[in-house]
Amino acid sequence: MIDARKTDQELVRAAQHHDHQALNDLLQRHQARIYAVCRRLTGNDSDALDATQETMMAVIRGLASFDGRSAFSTWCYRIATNTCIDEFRRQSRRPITVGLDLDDGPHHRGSDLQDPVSQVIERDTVDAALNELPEEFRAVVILRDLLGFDYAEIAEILDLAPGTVRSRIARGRARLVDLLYENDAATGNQPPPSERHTSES
Amino acid sequence: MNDETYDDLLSRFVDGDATAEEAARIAANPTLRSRVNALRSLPDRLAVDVPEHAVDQIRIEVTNGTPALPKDDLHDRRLARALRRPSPKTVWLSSAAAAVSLALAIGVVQQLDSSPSVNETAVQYSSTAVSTDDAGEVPEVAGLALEASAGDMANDLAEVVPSASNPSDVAEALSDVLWESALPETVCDEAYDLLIASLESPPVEQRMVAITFQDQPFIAIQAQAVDGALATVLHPVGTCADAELLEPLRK
Repeated sequence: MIDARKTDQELVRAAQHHDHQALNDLLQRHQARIYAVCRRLTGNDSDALDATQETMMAVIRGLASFDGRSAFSTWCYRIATNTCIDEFRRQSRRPITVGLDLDDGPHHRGSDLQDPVSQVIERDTVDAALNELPEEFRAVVILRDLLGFDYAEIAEILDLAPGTVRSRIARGRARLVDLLYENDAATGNQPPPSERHTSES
Repeated sequence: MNDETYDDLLSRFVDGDATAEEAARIAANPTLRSRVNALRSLPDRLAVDVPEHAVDQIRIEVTNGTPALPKDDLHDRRLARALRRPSPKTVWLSSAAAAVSLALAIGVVQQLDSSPSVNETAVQYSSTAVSTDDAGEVPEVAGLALEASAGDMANDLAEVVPSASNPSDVAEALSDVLWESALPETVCDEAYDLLIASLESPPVEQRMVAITFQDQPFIAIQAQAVDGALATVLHPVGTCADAELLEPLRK
């Protein structure tokens, strides 16, 4: 059980002094979000687990030199994001293959998708849309709408200017909604209530 | 109002940053309201069910020092990159790119200390040079100029780059300063692989600038790893395999 009373900063300090339990607690506190960002950035369960492992190993290796100038979470998700982007760039050079996910469970938390078939269609629809979303938009949208980071945190994680982050979030969200709408229509998935506007009137 | 402006307006509205007037305009327009609903559905649609047992297992075994997952191609590639890591001394390597007609050079500088001040660190470097005739020769160069697009930071870099005689000198000189990002989205696999190979840990920051060297366009890329190590690569745009990716730098 994680000691919720301790802050990340306290756990980091203890872990830097070789407190194994503190290191375990620190990673356990963030592991679900690390996996989530890895899952959405890599596009499949297997690579997400690989990237989660790589991220945790990188965090452990780098913890001694982590100076606390940024929040641990910012630093940690920067590592996760870079690990996934690195992997995604390599994968984008390879032929697309279809494989079995390790986890056949549902990947949608919405209340409107109860049956397994709908859940699988929804999962594939979202994966396909994210795969088509340009890399520069994918990370900002995931960090904002999946992990809930604010613009300043995203700017720090991705080493971008805040204005660039704001612009990319707006464009990335719009593009993702369009892609989801197109994929929903193609797969027969229940489309979101969106309709592309062309004018204000 | 164009689509991009609408995108910005609706995104700000979803984040609660729209003005009252903008909010009223959206509320009065069914199309915009529908679009807002779609944007608001994104967090739900992006949500992920975490395979808790598998992630727990990874954490436990990683913290115990033994990776949980079987060795796979990811680790094979990392091992391959580690084996490709250049020695601390200057080495010359041949490459398939030797067939290109333009002599090119890639310099890699690895700063082995986490301190940003190179004066306080021991700098080791290795370089890879490729030419049409002999991989061991570096052509004489006329000098180096930094593109205006890099702004003040380019001027700062220009001050620290002396009349460099070869690409390795340029890369080493560029490694003396911590840059600000000028071209954050422009990196090709070849250059990225060189950076990765030069670092023990994944990069957490990358900074790039466009430079002209020997009348040829290059990108200079500096990466900092989680352990604080810095690596700098000078990469040719003209002969880059990812020509499309680097196309903006040709202008």
